Amino acid sequence: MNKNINVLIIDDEESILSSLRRLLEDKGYNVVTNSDPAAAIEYMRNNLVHIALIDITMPNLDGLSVLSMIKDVNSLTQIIMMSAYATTDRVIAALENGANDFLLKPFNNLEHVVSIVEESEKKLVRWQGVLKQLGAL
Amino acid sequence: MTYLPLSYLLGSRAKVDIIRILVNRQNYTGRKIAVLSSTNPNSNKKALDFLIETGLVLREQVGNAYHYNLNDKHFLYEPITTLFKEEEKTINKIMKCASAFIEEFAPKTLAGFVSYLRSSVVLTVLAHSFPVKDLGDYIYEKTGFRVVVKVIDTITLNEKSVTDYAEKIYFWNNYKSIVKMLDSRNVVKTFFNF
Repeated sequence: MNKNINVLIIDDEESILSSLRRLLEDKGYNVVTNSDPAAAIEYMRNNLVHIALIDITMPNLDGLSVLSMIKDVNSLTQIIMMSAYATTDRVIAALENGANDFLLKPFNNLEHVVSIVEESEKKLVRWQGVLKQLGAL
Repeated sequence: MTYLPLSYLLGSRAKVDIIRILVNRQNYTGRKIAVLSSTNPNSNKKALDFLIETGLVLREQVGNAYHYNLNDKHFLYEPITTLFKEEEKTINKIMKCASAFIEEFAPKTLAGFVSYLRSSVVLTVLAHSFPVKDLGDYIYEKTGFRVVVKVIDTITLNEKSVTDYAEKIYFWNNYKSIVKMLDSRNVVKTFFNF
């Protein structure tokens, strides 16, 4: 069943993009992937993205810079950072800059990836309820 | 201690809410007044009967329903309507001022709400990195009133604030008639339309 939640995945590894796309589309998310961070940010300027999964280490643009640019485009987008070489400092820096969660690569348990994305979705649904009650929607 | 008429007239929230509603619009049915003031039908009926007894509220049968109006011949009609109109005017002034501030100094704010916590006016904004103190000072400078400013940070949208706001919303829902939307940008409406 389609959830009407748009997910953007940014990673320079095509294999990661295709496996995550398949996984999340099967769970009903609308998924867009991009291996070029600059193009992904441009995409976000014209399209609604509820949840973004971003690789923290990419050749052209650092994941933390992408995170900050995305938050500047839409501060409501929920961000999940991904990394194979996550140091504690990088994880803390990402969380301090507005990342909502962190995923460690390689993904040995794909259900864990789904549960992290679903957590972000649940948070948005909770806030949707709060804002409805406040009359903002 | 001698109790003067206002002590009786304004002696409960139900009575105050009924008068406020009738100041703004006449000819409401009892049921409509109960809905608008979020008061249970029994308390609403009791308060209406009391106000009729004082002569400040008049009841008129229209078809099968009763309609309620303020009695403009009552000696407290003028001061009471003035009091509630001034309350409304003040709130509108604060809202207008907050909107102007957001427009000029915090245009990325996504939404704003005005509510009341006991006798304080609370402005809540949905934003990231909002100049809380500046808004408070701006409103004080322009209106002479101190307000409480609260921010729901769009970056964190954290669990704690969900709980905090859920509790406050529960409180606000009981006072629905006096919660007002200050502003809501299309971006927030579009984002949460899933």
